[in-house]
Amino acid sequence: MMNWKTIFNPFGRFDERILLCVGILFFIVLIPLCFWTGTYFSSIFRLAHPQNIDVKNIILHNVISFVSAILVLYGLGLLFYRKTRIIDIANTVLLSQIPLITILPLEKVFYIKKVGERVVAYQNHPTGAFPFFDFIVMIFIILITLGALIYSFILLYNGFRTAANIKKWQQITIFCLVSFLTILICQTFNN
Amino acid sequence: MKLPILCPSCDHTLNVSQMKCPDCATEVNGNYELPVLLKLSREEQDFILNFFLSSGSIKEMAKQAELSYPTMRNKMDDLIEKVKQHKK
Repeated sequence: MMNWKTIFNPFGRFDERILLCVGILFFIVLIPLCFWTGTYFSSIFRLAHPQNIDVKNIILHNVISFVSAILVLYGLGLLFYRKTRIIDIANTVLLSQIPLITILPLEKVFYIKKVGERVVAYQNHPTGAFPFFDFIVMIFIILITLGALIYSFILLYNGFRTAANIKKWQQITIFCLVSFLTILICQTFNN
Repeated sequence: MKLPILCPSCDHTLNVSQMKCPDCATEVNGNYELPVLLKLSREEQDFILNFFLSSGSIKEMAKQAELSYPTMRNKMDDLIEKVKQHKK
């Protein structure tokens, strides 16, 4: 039975092969989604919006982003706990990006783009009535995106915690720092 | 009846001071330390028993408890650490 604990930490309950299948499935779905929206993952948690990009480059950039995160976190996991398995780390990285993959189609919703433009236009030239409805829609979209991002971080943290059996606050701090640095370095070189 | 392992007053591990033969009622008095496994909580003892009954397979235990392998392995490692502490 699904409960809050399972939703926020599926790694604690489900078999690693099932999780890996789900993760790979979403990664495969991500390729056409990126092509459709004209985006790619320059690192985990970071979407890039290039002018032009082909499928081959989308796959390459996405693979680099995911694989680099898996390798770095696997190395860190081994440092903390020698029984850390790469499959658990791969599941952590793959599944943590699912919320972001799920909201990726929002990029293509024309109405959302227009809403944002209208609110920004009013902010620059406040003439006429305040676009209250557009503002509400924009806030709603921001909340959805923020929620997905927070959920992604929770999945990454819980997955790594389960895979590397970390408990001490020092380990948690190092994990946060290493993850943040990996994301920064990856998006710098994977552009 | 549940075997008390901690002192209700100061939480220190209890020792055995008396044993009795249920057949002839002979009583033995002394100050014996509890075996390491008996110093663990009831749940932890059950965990070890389940591990033994599943032929030492963490994977099998995880399946039975509907948990993932790493979760069960982490529980096991935490318990190993606790047993090591008791053995010191």
